[in-house]
Formats: sequence, C-alpha cells, structure tokens
Amino acid sequence: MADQSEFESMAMPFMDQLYSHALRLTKNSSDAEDLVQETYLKGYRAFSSFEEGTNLRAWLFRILTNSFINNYRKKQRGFDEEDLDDLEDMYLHRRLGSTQIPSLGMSAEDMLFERLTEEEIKDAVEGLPTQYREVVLLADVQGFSYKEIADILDIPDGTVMSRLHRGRAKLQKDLLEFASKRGLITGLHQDRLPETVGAGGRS
Amino acid sequence: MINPPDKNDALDQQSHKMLSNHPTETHKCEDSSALITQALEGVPNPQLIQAVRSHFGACVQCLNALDLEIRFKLAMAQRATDKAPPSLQLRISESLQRIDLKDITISDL
Repeated sequence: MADQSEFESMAMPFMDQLYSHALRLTKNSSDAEDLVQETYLKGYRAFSSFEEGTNLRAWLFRILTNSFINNYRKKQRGFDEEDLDDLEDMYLHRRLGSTQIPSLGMSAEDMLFERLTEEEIKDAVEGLPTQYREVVLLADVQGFSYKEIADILDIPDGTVMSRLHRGRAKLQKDLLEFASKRGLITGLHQDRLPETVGAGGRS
Repeated sequence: MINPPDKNDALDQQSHKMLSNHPTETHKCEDSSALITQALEGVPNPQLIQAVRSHFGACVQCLNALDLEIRFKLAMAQRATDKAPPSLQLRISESLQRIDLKDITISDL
C-alpha cells in the first residue's frame, strides 16, 4: 500500500508525459491542463490503493484516460469515433521503398522525416479518430507495451493491435499526403511495392 | 543462492521466443510485418532490433521496412510531444495541498 505523502514526489516526474498525452487527446492546452490536474487529484485521492512496485506511470495514464473518456470524449461523440479503413501495414514502406530523389541526392524517406515539421506531425496525429489516436500515442510516443496499453484502455490485446495497425497506417498515409502537398515527395504510385512485406488480415 | 535473471538473458529469451517460429533459412516476407511490430513494442530495444535484422538477413525489402518503421516511431516519440507549462506544476502542487478528499470519487480508477 502506497504512502499518500509520497504521491507528489513520485508522480510529478510524469507530468510532461501526461500533459503531452492530454494535449494530443483534447487538442487544446486549457483542456489538457484541466485534464492533467484532474488526473493528479484523483491519483492523490486513490494513492492508498496503488500497489507499490507496480507501474505508477501506467496507473496515472489509466486515470487520465478514464477522465478523458468521462469528461471530454463524450462531448466529441458523433464526429470523432469513425472506423478507419484497413490500410496495409508498413504503409510508408510500400509507398516509398527505397525511392531516391536524384536532384537532392537523398531518399524519399529522408526527405519525409527531415522536412516534415513538428506541427505537421502533431496535426496528423490529432487528425486520427480518438480510439486510434489513443493507441498510437501510447505505443509510439509514450512507449508502453501492448499489454500495458490493453490495461490502460481496458480493451482486449487484439483490439490494441488492430487499432495500432490501422492508426499507424492512417497516420503514415496522412504524413505522406502532407509531404506530397508541400511538394516534398512526388511521383509515387499506388501500391508501389505489392509483393513485399506482408500485411496479413486483421480484425 | 539464486541470482536474479540477467536483463540480457531476458532479452535473449524474448528474441528467441519471438523468432523461434521464424528460422532465418525459411524467412518469409509475409511474416515480417508481425515481427517488426513485436520488435518495436514499447521502447525499442537495440538488441531485439538487431536480432530481427539478423533474421531478415539479406532481404533488403524487409530490412528497409524495419528501418522505416523505426524512423517513424522515433519521429513520433521525438516530435509529437510537448512540455507542460511551468505554471501547471505550481497549480497542481497547490491543489494537492488544498484537496478535500471527500470531493473526489474513485469512479474513474
């Protein structure tokens, strides 16, 4: 059983991560700050039920996620819960492969990752439907294991994998479209590498 | 006395388990997507990634796919993040000191 007097010193180091996650979920800084504050207050209140030695970071993310669902996601219902098409895995690889841009002496993927701005990447993430955004953020930004994500979101492991594959593919597609609109990458073809890395069917 | 398992041993076991159904000599490109997904779970581990890279051997397409997914994951981790404003820490510290425990339910836990 955790000692409540230690909560602040143990939990505060995770504030940047919680805020960053909250900001990508709520899409505005005022709501993100409120959500993080609520997470800490609830965490403090329940800290005596936290089992020492278990994952405090995941525990806090779970509180934040549930608070987001209760207070914010319900407001967004109706326009933010759509399903995504089942795009192929490794979407970027299939479109870019080892494409070279001779005039610049660099590969298309170098161009993509070096020239896309932080804002474009954040915009692409925030453009994902919430249920996919949550999983992609937890996996790729926060670095949680798939099992931890299943626990945080209280969904089956298979749902984590399905949402992660679809979310990543959509995100990669959107990043490629950003790059294409800015003229960073041109001349790519649909299904450029049909015989390569297998996608496999996913539910 | 039994020594605790070494971290590297655990990683070896993890990579062995992950690759046991995918011997290098029978590498199939259609299996690569699942292997890459497993290798990049959580915080990417260089040792695990190297094991998958070795498994792919000379298959350039699968090696490229792995490298591209690593770059994507790193770009996300490095460029889709924000720092909390300094005022937030102060605001939270103050509210923790003022908190009336009865005002909060644990329904969100």
